[in-house]
Amino acid sequence: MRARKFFLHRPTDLDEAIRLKAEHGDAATFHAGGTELLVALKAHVLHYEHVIDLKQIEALKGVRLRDDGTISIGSLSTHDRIANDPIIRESLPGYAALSEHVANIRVRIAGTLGGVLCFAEPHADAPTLLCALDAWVVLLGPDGEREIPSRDFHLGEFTTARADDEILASIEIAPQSAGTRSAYRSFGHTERPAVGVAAVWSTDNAQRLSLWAGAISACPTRLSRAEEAAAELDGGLPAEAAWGRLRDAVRADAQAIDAHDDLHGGADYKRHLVSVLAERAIKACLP
Amino acid sequence: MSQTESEFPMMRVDFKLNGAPASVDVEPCEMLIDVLRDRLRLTGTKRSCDVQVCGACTVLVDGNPASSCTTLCADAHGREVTTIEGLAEGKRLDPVQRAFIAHGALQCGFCTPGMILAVKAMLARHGAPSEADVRHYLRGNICRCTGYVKIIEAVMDLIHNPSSYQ
Amino acid sequence: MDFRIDALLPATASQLWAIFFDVKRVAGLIPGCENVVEVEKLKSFSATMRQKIGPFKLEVPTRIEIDSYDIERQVCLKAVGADKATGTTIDVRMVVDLQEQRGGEDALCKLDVSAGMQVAGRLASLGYPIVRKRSEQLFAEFEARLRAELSHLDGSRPAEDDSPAADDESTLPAQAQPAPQPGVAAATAAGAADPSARNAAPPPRAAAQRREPPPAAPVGNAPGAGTTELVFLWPRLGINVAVAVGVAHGAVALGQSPWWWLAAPLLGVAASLGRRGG
Repeated sequence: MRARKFFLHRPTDLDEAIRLKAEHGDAATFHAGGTELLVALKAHVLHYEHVIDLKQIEALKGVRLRDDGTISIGSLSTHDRIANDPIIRESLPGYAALSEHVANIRVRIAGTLGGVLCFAEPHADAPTLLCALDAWVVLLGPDGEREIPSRDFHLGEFTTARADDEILASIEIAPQSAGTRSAYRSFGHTERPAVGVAAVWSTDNAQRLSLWAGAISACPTRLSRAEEAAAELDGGLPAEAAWGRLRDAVRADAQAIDAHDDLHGGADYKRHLVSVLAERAIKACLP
Repeated sequence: MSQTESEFPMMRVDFKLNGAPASVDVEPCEMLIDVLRDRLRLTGTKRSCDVQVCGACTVLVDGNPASSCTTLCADAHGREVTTIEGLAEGKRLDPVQRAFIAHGALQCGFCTPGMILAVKAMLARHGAPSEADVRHYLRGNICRCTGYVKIIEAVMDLIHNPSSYQ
Repeated sequence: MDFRIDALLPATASQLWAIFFDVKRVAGLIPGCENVVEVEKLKSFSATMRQKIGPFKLEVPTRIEIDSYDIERQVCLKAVGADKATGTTIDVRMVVDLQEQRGGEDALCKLDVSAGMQVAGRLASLGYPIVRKRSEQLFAEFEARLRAELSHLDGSRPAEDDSPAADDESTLPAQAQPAPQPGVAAATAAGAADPSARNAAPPPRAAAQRREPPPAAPVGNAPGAGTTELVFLWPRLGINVAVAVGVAHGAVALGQSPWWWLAAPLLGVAASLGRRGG
């Protein structure tokens, strides 16, 4: 079907965008890549009279390194841009690889990281790894700026901590220590993942492992038993031995996940995938 | 509050289409495929799934594949759009088109415009992709007829023997 | 989608009616159910189901119709609704059978529900997994509200039983927990005979809130309120419907529309289906 009519606004700076949203309230929505919004508008499952296109706002673009080494990803960064960005490829190759495998080339060209995070469809890749990386988001609204850790940003299906009148401006990732590796593995028979697991393994960090499962439930879920088990491990274990010590804890974590049968697979199957993907992600981080 | 339908103004969209300047007055809600097919009579771009999954509607925007069914025409403002009609120069087919024909890489032809444009974009970006790279890049272009074998063969042949198709 | 409920409720058919009250109150237990109106006495009802998930809003005007009935034994009904904005339609056909069990010390009534559901439309196809999951959550919420409602009803303990202390809310049965996997059977109704498994009904304070006194059904024989131990194949919907049936019987007995008990389970179903579009 054709989308119903709307005004298209093209603010050139953030203040104007925030003002427009405040003015039109619930009748307005933000628009970036449109990979979710436009599908919903065409199907008439959503309707807005005012669409605020953010793509002219330079402040939301680009990937840069802050002075303290924090990687700052503008929310308008597309998956394709992130996959090919030299800073990301250098510092977060696991995340570059994730971005390279999102959906298909057309979605990677058009879709933005900000859009994925704000739309909050559970079957997505980036939120899982961003939680494992302890990333945080910067939100801008009429009342100013605030920061929220990724793990607190995702609240449920299509629900985030972003207030309706706020714009997600950037995603920030702290500099990774020299001994840190990260990897993401996912599986799905559609363009969206049924299950994804993100592992961040630090050889020079007492906490050692950050392990999160995503797409399987309403928001990314920490696999805490596995993380605790990893903290007990001796350093320098080869991949197979490390996995051997973590496997049962991962399975216990997977069993505890509240999964549902759906078109992406049965609940049991998805829980099983968590273990399989966790093994691959963890081993990918280790020598 | 709610506007009546007549109060939503049209927008002027200026862009480049197959190398030539184009200018249309559109509703902001019109998708690029609607404008290309219905207003501009460029029906080489096909509408199939309408949810940007199948790739039949693929056009190139600034050289990159885009789902024209899920792209606002307004978002093409100031950009370069290439449709399948823009590939051939008169009777002289593009090398990708010739490779497809030589290898029988199409049957019903419905996915073909999108498929060819995706290949074109891929080759502009990657000089010599491996077969795995090709499969990865073309993942979002679905073909119901061919089973993809001939398509991949055509592309790999074009990559390895470009002079055959000049 | 088909489902069955097969439950033994610790009550007589007419006692089930006597326990509960108010049509509006039953509707209030169904999350998102609003504007419940009896359209035609003994025949049809209308209601609106409203739900929201993130930016998606659903409003389903629902029409519930009784196709046929056999008093205190069976009813056949259907619920049909459509949300114009999203093009979501729901269609439920249901047969409810009641069979009071004779020859036991305690009152028991067998409840058998057989239903077929069809949900169609763009929102349902685009978001089916989430829609289905939200349905389950709605049922759990309805169940929780209903249990809370039942636990406030008074005088429902059998006088002869050594029931647990009246105020001890902690004896609420653990089977109130929603089962995470469909198909898992809850505690069987055999447990109903075990007094320690019954809900302890709080003291009669709730009676003061009632607008009408209960009818002359012997209070002493009524089972513990809320002891709806069910065997069911589709837990969420099963609890939802079965309890709604019980609630509705009560509403009927208090002089409200006699056929509310037919409509309530349908509303419960419709509520879950309304979820489907959300």
